[in-house]
Amino acid sequence: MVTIGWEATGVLDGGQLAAREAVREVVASGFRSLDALLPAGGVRRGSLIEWLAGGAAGGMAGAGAMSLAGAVACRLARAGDEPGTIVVIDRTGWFHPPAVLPWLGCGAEAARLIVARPAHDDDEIWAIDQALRCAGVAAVLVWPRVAASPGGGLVAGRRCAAQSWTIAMRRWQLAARSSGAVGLFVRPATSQGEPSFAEARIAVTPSPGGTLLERRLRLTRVGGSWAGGPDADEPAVDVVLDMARGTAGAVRHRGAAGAFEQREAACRAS
Amino acid sequence: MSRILTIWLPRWPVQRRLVERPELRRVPVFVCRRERRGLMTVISWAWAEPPSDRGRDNRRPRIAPGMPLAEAMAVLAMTHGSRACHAAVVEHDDPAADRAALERLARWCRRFSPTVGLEQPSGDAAAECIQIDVTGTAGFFDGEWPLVRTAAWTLTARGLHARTAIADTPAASWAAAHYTDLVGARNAATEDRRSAWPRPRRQRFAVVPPGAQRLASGDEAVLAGLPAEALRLDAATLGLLREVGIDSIGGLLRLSAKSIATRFPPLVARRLAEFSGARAEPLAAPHGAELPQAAHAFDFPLAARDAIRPALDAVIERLVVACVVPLAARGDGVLALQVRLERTAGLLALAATPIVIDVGLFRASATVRHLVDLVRLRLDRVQISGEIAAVAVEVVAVGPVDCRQRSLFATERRDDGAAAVGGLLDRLAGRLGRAAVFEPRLVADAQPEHAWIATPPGSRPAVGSVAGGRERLPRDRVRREGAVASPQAAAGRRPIWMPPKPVPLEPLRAALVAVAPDGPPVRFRLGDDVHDVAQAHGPERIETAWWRGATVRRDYFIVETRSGARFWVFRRLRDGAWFLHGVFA
Repeated sequence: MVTIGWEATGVLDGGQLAAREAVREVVASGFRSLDALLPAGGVRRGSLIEWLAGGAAGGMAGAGAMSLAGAVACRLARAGDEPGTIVVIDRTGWFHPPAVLPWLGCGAEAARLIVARPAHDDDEIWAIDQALRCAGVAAVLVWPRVAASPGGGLVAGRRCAAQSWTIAMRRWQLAARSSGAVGLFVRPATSQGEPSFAEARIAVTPSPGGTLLERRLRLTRVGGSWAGGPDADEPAVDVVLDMARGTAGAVRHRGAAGAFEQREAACRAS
Repeated sequence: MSRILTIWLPRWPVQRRLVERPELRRVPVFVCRRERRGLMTVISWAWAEPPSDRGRDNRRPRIAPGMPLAEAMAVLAMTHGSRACHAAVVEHDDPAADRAALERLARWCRRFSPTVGLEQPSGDAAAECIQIDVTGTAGFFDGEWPLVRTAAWTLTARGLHARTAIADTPAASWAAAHYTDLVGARNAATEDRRSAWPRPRRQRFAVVPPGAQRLASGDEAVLAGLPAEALRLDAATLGLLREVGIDSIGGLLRLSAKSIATRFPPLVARRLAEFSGARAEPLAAPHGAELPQAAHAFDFPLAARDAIRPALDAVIERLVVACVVPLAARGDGVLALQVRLERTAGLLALAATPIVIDVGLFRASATVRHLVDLVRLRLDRVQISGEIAAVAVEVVAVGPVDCRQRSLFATERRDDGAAAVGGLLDRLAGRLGRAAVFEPRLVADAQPEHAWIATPPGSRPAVGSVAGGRERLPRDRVRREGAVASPQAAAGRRPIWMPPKPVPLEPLRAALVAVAPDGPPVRFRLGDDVHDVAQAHGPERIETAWWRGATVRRDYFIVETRSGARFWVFRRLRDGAWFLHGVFA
């Protein structure tokens, strides 16, 4: 009787897959409490991370998820031996680079920022795939599509059909794995129910307070690699984003420490 | 003696834009260069189709190149009213694109003769002339008069205003082309009388008889009456000539060579020698005239309904190899490539236009696989119909490739990443369009929308040699780059998301008014959501200078709502209306 092992068929079982995944470099995200939330203890090169912006539907505008993703991307681009490249796939044309450009660093250490503006959904999927497949790219940032609503507000625009997005995401996962680029996808919180191939899914909600150049964000882990649904017991952490430098900011205790400061201090201690 | 045809395209920077965007013909177009402190200087301007009742000469605005834009606008307002100024389109100077378009036109002009050159402008002026050696080829056009006429009117049919002239030397034909009115009036008698063409109101073409450029007087001396400016002298020398009473070429020709050499700067003697033919002036071929090209004709045309892509791909790959090999041998790579699929005229005459695929690269490449991939990407999106009779590949632009030694063992190379990103940029630009892929840079500008510019990626010399790149910049550019510190100082205060136009915020039952007279809003509505402002930072007042057109005066606030979301809103100081101008998303 002939038995064919998994190796012979080219299919890896879970353990082998995990072992192969573990070989790849893990880079600190620059935010210690965020690292604690990620399964690998940092951002693993060649993986995808999803950021779900805002809590309620439609409340994603102004939540700070994109700024945080941009800060992580800059950190990833500057973490290697030589500065990497960040590719922003900007389907909406709303990306305003002066927010991120000061975070890239200066001189020889500066990372490179490239913006691509696809005009169609299929072009966008193709462009994300190409960018993730490229060896010199450190991070690929993808913004959700928004449109100005008739009432003058901002609503999350209709993404292409969820199914094609999911299929494409599998392709992106493989593409990222082949090159080591990290895909950072900012999506509205309403897409939480959709299946995902991201290594981590993190919901970002803003915390009120903070100074002009510091934003307080509350991060909740809402799903791992293959899971989709929300989990009430998942831990939540707080980070402070320094808007001027794109790094973790220090918490300033002004008067009595509020609930935010206590939580943040607890995260730092752990 | 040779015969040179000069095609002069007056105000070429504007003409080029009018051809590319015909809708600009109805409005005044200014092509401006940005000087220090944001001052705009008019390089060239035109109003192709002014309102009919006002296009007379006495009402034509007198705007000279080198005038500040504000002054030019004032002149335009005096002749045509302020409405014309509001309609005016101001374009930034782009000498590289002007030159590239002129080179394309020069290649097209090879229909008149194989030897085509571009004018070599003196100083920082831009080239506006194409010069063609038509010695012996005028016979194919039924003589020199029909040739100049054909050249002028074929270009008119392409939407270009051109003036053409033929003379013995490049300098003489340059002069004749710039003053066709004067030359045409003098040699109207010698013009071919069989011509059935009506004489246009303003003569656009002229033919100088052989040897006429050496004559200072007489019936044949058609060039002697031209002003001294036609010799391409600089303003200081022209002033010198005017002081001694010489204002025409004839006056200079009457002087002896010795007195010219002793009295005037050497440029005068040189220009005069070039003019008369005593000193040879070579035609400068357009860049890339010697670039490789390859073509393949099929024995039987390929019908599109058959699966022809594999065959086409194989042929294209072979042709690309044929083009790249001679380039790679001298260390060059392809920057731009054109693939033409020639179609046969089938039953439908429409099907006979060739399919042209232009591929542009951000950095030169000599890798056949990469080039073929780019062509394939474009070919995937082209609907091929009819029958393909031949395929031609032509290299349009080349650039040096950085060669590096191959290593024996496959190790991680440091510059592999940069090369891979270069390939990615070419692929993205090939499918999304060149304008859709860019590298943003900060510039010193108070108005937030204009605080950054999209530059084509790869224009930066290399990562890490920023200091080296700065040395090459002229001094005023360095000063401007030094001023970039101000947007850098605004770091953290700019939103990551900015709508293309400020979104008006609707007043919410008068609750949008600020508590303080100049303070932030307390509540505003965005779509269906009502936001209560918990805290606000500001105001940051931004005003633009009057010479930039419509004045912008705004008070910006960073407002944080009760839920912690941050927005960037401003109050227009003119009328107190509120707008959303960014989201700290």
